[in-house]
Amino acid sequence: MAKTPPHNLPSATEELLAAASGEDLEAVACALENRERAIASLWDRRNAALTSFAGEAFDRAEIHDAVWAFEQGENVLAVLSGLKLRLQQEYGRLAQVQHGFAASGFEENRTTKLPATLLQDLDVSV
Amino acid sequence: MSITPLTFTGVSTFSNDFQSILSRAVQIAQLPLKALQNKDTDLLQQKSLLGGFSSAVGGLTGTLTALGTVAGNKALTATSSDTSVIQATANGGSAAATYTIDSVTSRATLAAERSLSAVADSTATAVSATGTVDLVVGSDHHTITLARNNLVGLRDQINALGAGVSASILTTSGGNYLSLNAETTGATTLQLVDDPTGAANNLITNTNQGTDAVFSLNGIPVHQKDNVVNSVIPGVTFTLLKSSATPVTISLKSDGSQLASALSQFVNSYNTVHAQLQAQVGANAGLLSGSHTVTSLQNLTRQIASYQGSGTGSIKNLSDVGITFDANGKASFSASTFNALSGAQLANAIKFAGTANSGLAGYAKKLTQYSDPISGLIKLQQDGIDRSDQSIQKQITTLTDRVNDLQTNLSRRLALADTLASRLESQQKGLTASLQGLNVVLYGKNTTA
Repeated sequence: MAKTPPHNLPSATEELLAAASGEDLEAVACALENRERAIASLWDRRNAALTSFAGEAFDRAEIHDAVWAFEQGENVLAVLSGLKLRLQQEYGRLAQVQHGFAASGFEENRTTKLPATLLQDLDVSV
Repeated sequence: MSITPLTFTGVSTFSNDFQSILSRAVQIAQLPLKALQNKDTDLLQQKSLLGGFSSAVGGLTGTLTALGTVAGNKALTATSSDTSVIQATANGGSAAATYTIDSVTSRATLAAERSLSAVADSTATAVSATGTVDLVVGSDHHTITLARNNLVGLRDQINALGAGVSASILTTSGGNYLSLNAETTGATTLQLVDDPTGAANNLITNTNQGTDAVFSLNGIPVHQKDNVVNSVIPGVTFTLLKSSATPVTISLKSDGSQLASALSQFVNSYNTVHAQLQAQVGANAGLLSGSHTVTSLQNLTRQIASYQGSGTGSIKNLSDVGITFDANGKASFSASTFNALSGAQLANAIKFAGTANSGLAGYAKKLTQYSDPISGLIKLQQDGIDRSDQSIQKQITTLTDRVNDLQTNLSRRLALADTLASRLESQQKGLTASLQGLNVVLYGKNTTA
């Protein structure tokens, strides 16, 4: 993934949103790296503005972009929370598989093989 | 083959949740393993129980076979009127009878001779003029060319022949003698001839060439080389212990005590099987409850307990020979009831007991179908359990590997997700701080708080 220009916080945040919505954790890591650089740039210019008696020009729209980026960051945290919930659902499904196995009659018939699908089901992708 | 729980040390506010999720996933994934392990334990217990059945049924089969042998021989025993002269045993007779040994003229003895002269040095003094001797045992001649012409050399070569004669050296104050002893009893010719094609001098004495057993049975003279006589009277083996001119009577007759002993042993082994069967039925039944082996064995033992015989004669069921059953089906044998049987009833009891192929003892053959250590039903069922056990062990191994893989994958992805969440939280804090500063610059106050 190409590096986002240092000042482009919205672009880095959009990448983060895309990676998070695809649940691609490697892409999320890369997007976070770009976003970190954009935030650092914003921090530098914010410091410069605070220490300039001349009152460095600071684009008001950029502040709105930063607010938007913050809000989207919260959304990504919500996505990660959603991922956790989905994992719980996956495990719930796995539990059903196990209970189904226990109730499949295997207990009564000792020579019965495991259900053919069980091993596949155990490979629950998380 | 154990599952090793992984511990995940996260840094984000989600880490506790991730850890609980991970633990739960592992617990769930272990469920089928636990079921399989429990199953395997049950199987091994079943196999152990079957081993007990195999032993018990084998015991019952053995006592029924022994009963059939006793009854098949009409429970005959042989007795001698003078056990100092003749000892007798029954070995498969079919009818009671009495025989008289009118006299025992002689017992069979071994031929035993020694060298006529002594030699001073058993390893140096020559024993043959030519170095060639002829050993005569009965009608057999064995020419010996001495490798060492001395007493020890002669002894060793005779013993190496396998001619039915053993040689040894007798050491006396007068010198060393060769002793030759036939290995079997009976009259024979035992000679050791030096220079057999020339001077032909016999080197040993001719005083004890062995004797045959000679006796008279019911007026019939009998000669044989052995003192154990097992081919003259059917079903009786007797041994001549000494000569006697006084007649000795050998009697072959049915002995109730043999049958009583066999029946008592049958009862004990029956109860062993019955107890094991009882442990597999009812509310507290064991792991073999409902097994075909158990149900069919129950059926078979019921048939044995209610055996009716041929329905003729005075002995028709087990209670007639003193075997009764209590309310729980346990058998007991009354020796007093059995001993009260008359001679005719004893004969009928023998018929009732049967043989290896008939009567009560005939059930041994049916029981063997269960207890045979190679092809019996119990062994086959144990073999089946072994196969199931191997299959389950294989499945446990496969499942364990899968669960371990699942754990590893879960742990890796959850750790990554937690790290990313933590990093994002940190970014959000940094962004918030930046916005606070900018608001102060632009508006003179923090509007993001």
